[in-house]
Amino acid sequence: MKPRAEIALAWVTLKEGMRERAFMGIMTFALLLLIASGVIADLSIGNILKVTQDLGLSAVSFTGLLLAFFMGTHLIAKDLDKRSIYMVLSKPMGRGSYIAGKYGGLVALVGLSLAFITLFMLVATFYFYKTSRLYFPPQIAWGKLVLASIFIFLEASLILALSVFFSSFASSPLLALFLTLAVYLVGESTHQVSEILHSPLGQRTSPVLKALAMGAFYIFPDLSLLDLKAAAVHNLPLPPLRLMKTALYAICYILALLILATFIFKKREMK
Amino acid sequence: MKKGILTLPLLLLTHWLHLVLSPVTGGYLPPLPKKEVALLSTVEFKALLSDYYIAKVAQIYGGPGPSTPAQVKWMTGALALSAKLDPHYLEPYYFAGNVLPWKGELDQAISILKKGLEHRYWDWRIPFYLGFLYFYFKREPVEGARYLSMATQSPEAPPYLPLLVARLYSEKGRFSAAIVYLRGLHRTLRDPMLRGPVKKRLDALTIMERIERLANEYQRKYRAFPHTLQDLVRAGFLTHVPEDPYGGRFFFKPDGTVWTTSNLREVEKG
Amino acid sequence: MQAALRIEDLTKHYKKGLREKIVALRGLSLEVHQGEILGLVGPNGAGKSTTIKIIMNLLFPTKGRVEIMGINARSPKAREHLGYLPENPSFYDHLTGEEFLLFTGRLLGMEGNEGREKAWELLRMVRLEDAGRMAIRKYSKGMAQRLGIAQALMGDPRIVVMDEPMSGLDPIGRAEVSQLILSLKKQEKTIFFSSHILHDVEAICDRVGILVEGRLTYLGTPSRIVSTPTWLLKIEGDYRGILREKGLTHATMVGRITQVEIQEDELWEVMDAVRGCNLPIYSLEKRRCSLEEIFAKEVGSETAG
Repeated sequence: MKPRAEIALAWVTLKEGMRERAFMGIMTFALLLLIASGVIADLSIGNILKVTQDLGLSAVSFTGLLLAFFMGTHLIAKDLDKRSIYMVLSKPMGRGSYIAGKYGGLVALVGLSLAFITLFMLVATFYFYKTSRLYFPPQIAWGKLVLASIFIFLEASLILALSVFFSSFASSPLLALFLTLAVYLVGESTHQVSEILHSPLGQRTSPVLKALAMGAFYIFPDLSLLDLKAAAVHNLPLPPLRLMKTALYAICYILALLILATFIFKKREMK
Repeated sequence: MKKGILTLPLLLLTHWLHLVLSPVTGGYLPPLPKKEVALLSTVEFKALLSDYYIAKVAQIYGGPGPSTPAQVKWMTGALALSAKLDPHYLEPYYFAGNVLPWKGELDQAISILKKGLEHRYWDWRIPFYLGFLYFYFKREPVEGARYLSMATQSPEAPPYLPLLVARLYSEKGRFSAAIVYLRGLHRTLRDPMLRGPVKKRLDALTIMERIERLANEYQRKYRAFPHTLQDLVRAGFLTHVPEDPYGGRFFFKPDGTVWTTSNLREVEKG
Repeated sequence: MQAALRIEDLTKHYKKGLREKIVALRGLSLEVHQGEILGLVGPNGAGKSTTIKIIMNLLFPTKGRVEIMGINARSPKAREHLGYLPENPSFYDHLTGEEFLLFTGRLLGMEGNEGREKAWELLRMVRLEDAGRMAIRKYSKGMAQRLGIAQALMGDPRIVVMDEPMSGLDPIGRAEVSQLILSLKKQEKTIFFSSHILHDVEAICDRVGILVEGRLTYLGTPSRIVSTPTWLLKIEGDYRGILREKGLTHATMVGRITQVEIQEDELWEVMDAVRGCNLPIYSLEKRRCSLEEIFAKEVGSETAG
């Protein structure tokens, strides 16, 4: 059977998201950030193109984060709050289809937005590259910039899955947002924390705390794996096999979250 | 609520713009958090904080007047933090290798550069800076040679590097080695804002080397050391007393070597 | 013949806080026959919406079960036979009416053309053909209600379940929805709907169920509930004395109006008696029992069945 219902729901979610004022705000903000990045980079010193790329990729990643945090929790909460979800759930499809369709729409929304912002970022970087006052311009790894953006998209998709997961049981969107944010912060730092624990500083840490931290390291998503910004900006080697494994890691994590979300959502009553 | 969150990065942005736009007053130095705090709080935007500290260091470095001890101390901390936040970024190593030693922070500079070797292992510039520091400041030519040969063996090293290193070791004069190094460094720099200060130091050292050479000739001719630069002018070795690009005045130390009242640091005019 | 909808011993508790629980349904049993219109009436909070949401699998029963054409309501297959109009339906209102129906069609697995034909057929049926290409956000309450009915019919379900289909509508809107429901019966659909207004129910239903505090207190034809009505005679001015002389002892004053209640079988007798007095009659109206009065009457007096 074709996933026609899921695609229809994804399409409606995408259209709905694009009409949200918050979405417009985030996109405008991202474009302003990219324009400002040129000015800022021009005022800094040394390899200004490095700063341009830092700012550009950070703008892409910041946009992805904002969209994932807000649109994910907001659109599902709105569906529940306005009770438009009743019309969908009363159709002969499972709750899993609702989760899949909604998530699909959100991913499409974030993906299209990031593609647009990335394109703008590349054009801006190219412009600054051409007009730079440097004696001999450094090499720019264009392919790796695109790759870094793709992994930013993967990261945003993972955060979307988190927000869908938390929305499946949280009673308020603010709670879902807060939980998603908390997991993001933990996921960004588990790698750092485990490094600190393995350093001489970690020798003094109590074993209980250490075990907890290592538990967190394995349960929470290691988001630092998906961060290729530094590799792109400094043109560091990116072994394809490692990249594929990293992508697979993100995709498996997303699937696990969505399956859990479906499981919980199936038991949720629509009051 | 959403708009509230959006204002946060905007505030940071304006703060940065303000810092970069406003001329350095020397008063305000942004706080330097502990490295663990900095690493954990910047999530995936570590590079931006690193860029920020480098921008601020460059601003102090390129600003008018000499840097105060507080500024030098802050720059040292900021460079170490910046290198920690974005360990593949060349600029912290550049400043650590070429600014800190001249301001008396030699050991810190060496420690930052040695960490840099691990991350930018392919880059010939870090061992190049390190080798010179050992050779010139530390006066450990053997250790210096180890790093310099590491630099020449790097696949990305420029073709002129082996020749440059050879000349470094053949030079006998006090300033000649530094001149050779600075010439090499100058060739690697992209940014006019960084080239300027190197060129200035190069100019000052070139003049001092010339004065020292002329003083030696003076001694051979008159069997006595010149007391002042005027002696050289009077004897016809110089047409006029050369100016120190840093705004100081050249003079002979009692042991007969040349130095300048600027100590090769920017002197405030007025 | 198999029941279209069978509700068996349905009980629903809500948790409120940690300890407290609210009992919304207490062992409700009910069968809706194929092709009939069954209205479920009851005051607010009686459990009507809870019943409908359990049928739609939006809520889950604490005890008991619901079967739709013999299929447990918990299974998605059961909903293949169901069309649902929620209370105060809310749409993805950036879509047009046509787009929403197409979306509904796709949720039901329809192809583009098939869905489009059905959508326009239904838009014509609910008289929204002129508003089909208008954004739903611009729809009036009545239009939204009719679009809600159209989307419930997209999959040609055998059973249509409606939660308060007439609430919040003006008299014309109510009449339109009533007409629609009657026309659905002609298409041999089974209709189960809830209302808190008895008048809506008695006019169109084959059978009526009265739900009070989670229990079915009456189930039968509407004519049996609307028992002998009374008449209310209003006279301008204080005429209690004259009325008392004519044997009407229970007249009361409301403002400047004298009111007196007359039983149906005494109406003509009383009217003959007051004819000669030349009273300034303000109005004479048939008084319906309010639902609350019926509910009060029904509680405890009749059992479900």
